[in-house]
Amino acid sequence: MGLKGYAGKVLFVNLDNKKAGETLQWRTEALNEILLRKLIGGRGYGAYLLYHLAGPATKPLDPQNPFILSTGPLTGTPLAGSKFAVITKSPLTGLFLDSYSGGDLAGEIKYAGYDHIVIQGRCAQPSYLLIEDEKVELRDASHIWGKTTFAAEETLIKEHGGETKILVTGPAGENLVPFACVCTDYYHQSGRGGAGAVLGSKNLKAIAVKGSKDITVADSEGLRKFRQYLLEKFKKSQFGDLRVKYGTPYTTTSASAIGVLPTRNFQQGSFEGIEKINCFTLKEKIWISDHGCLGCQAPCMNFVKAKKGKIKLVGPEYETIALLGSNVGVDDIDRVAEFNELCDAYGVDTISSGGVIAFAMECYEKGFIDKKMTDGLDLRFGNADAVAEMIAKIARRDGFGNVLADGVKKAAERIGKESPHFAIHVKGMELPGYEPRGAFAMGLAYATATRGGCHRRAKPVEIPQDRFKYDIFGSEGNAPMVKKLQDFREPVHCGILCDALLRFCFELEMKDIAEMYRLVVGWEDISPPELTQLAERIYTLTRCYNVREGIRRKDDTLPPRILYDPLPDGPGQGKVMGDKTFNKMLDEYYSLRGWDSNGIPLPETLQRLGLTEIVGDLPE
Amino acid sequence: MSQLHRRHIKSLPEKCSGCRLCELVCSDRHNPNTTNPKRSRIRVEIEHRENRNQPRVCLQCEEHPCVEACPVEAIKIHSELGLPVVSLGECTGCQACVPACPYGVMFFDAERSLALKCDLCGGDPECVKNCPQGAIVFAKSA
Repeated sequence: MGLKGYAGKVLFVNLDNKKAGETLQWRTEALNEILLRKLIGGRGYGAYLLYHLAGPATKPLDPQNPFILSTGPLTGTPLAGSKFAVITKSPLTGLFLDSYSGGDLAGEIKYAGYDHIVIQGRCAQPSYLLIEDEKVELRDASHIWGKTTFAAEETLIKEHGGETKILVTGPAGENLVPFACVCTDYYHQSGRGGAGAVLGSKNLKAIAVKGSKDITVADSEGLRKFRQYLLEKFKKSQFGDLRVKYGTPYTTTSASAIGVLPTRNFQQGSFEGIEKINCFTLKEKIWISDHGCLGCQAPCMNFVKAKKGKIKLVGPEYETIALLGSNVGVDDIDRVAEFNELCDAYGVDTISSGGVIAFAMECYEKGFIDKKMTDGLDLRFGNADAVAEMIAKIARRDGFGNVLADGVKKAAERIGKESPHFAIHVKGMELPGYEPRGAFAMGLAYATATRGGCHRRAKPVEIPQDRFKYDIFGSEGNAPMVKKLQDFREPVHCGILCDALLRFCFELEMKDIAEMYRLVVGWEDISPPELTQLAERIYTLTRCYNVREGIRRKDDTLPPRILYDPLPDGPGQGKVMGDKTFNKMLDEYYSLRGWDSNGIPLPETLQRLGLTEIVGDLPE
Repeated sequence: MSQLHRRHIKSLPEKCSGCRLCELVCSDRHNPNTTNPKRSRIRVEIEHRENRNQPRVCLQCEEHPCVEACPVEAIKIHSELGLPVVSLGECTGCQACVPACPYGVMFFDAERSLALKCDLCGGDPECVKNCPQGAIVFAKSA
């Protein structure tokens, strides 16, 4: 194929009730070159694949729900931190899911010769998939089934060597916990939305990939200069140094100060124990060394050892500190690291785990549940032993763990009383570590994120107040800002490079992203306006996916607590977002996106974005 | 002797983050417009569980056991650089040099059947320039 950067192929694997050792059905398809300029790769091309492979009749845990590993043309090139995405129908939300991870696997998929790997069907017995260039085999996984992610990966690396990169799910994925994650290089997770449960439903414990092929780029001399430009951008950036020094936790203290740090199940926006779990404490007490993703110039991950060396992991990231620290009322960085390791070992998302456990703690303190229901656990906020116990119980679906294991939305339905009022989720996905009442635009970002309660498509709290004028406790300017932030990430998530690296460490703009595609793919005339339109196209394509699943305006909302109750503390104290302000933001947002007042993309929008044929007929 | 005599790439594993940017830029430098870590002359040995990252590359040792091991004399002391360099046209891919290297830093490109050895990019090593951590440095031998 004429275009550089791409491997050029999609690998389709059908597990088709096969056993290890039996010949697998697999085939490759050339990438559709006409679509590449419209959807690039990663999230864009992956959304196109999912749109056609999993409609409303396909349930997330059905064999035919595809587990898609997506990369893009920038992945694995000597440019910046590479990522891959898992794209599938989410067991947590029943909607479009894209969940990203760093780690060496991102490049390895492409070195094996594939841009996307699409896995459908279900194995007859626990198995793992081995992909070495054109060799695609199903192997017996009975020896690693039931094992933690760490133990399973270690075993497979011993068997295949360190050049083989492993994606693995843990006991939670095997038990179909809808927020089970997948892990690679031990400490990298595609955490959100339940990719691990999709693997588990396929009886697939792991995917092992080793590749030997080249990735070609259009202009390596130009890339060399561009890397120097990135280093200059890094030096000038406001947060680059801090990001490397402290990693994502560097905002823990400021988040608490501006009142956006979820505390005790979003009852407060600041945490009195913040100094015991913030980035400085992390660095001083448990930090050992820095860790970077494939090709990253700004390694932001912290390798730590906690509890006197008994706990070791890369983390905890900001979200984990928020959701499994302040949000469960635990003010001990050693314990937060321990929770993080437990979640990683069992293979559950730290954000959703923290969300659902905090919810249960509030139910317990309010008397909606008692020790009889919690298997004797004293589920008060701050009880770290109970948190650790609950993580294991959730992953095993053991006792009360089984009540929480289906996520906070379903847990609230089961517990009842007034608990749905403080079940903190959007579209079934537990909210991450930014309290929207401290910055109303964050609420709009959560309500309009394709995969549900997610901060990774737009994070208004990342914008310093002196740089971009927006209304923290109102609606003015929020919709255009959220759209702009979402749009920036689309071509990055098509790349796939690390959005955080490009935004915070290099402070790149759309023109820089266009330049990357020019240098790698060879699209000489690609421009920022074209990429903005591409972003709008992909955002609307994923919206169409969700609309086809029944999503409408009524679903683009926030938990009642967030919408109607004031915060008791912080700068947002006493402020209520309310329906009026929220709806004003939402109306403006829909209008900017070219969607009708019910959140359905208008026919002329589909026409303008060249989506009419891809999407087909949308329901009314 | 040339300017590169007694120079080599030194690695500082305690600084290495395991990002492997060195592998990516090395393969690109020696095979323009191509990225493939399996064609790189520097490799980061990573033990993820402990975040132990060890960049491994030719130490440009004085003894040149690789030169001696090559049955077809495809590894020659470069007249200008003063370093052993693999002559691509002459390497038969027999791999005799690989176990001969006492430091295990003679790599092999299995796809193309070629020995891979660091030539310090002729005096301006690409990996050193691109290492974000300063974990590989262009050093003078003692």
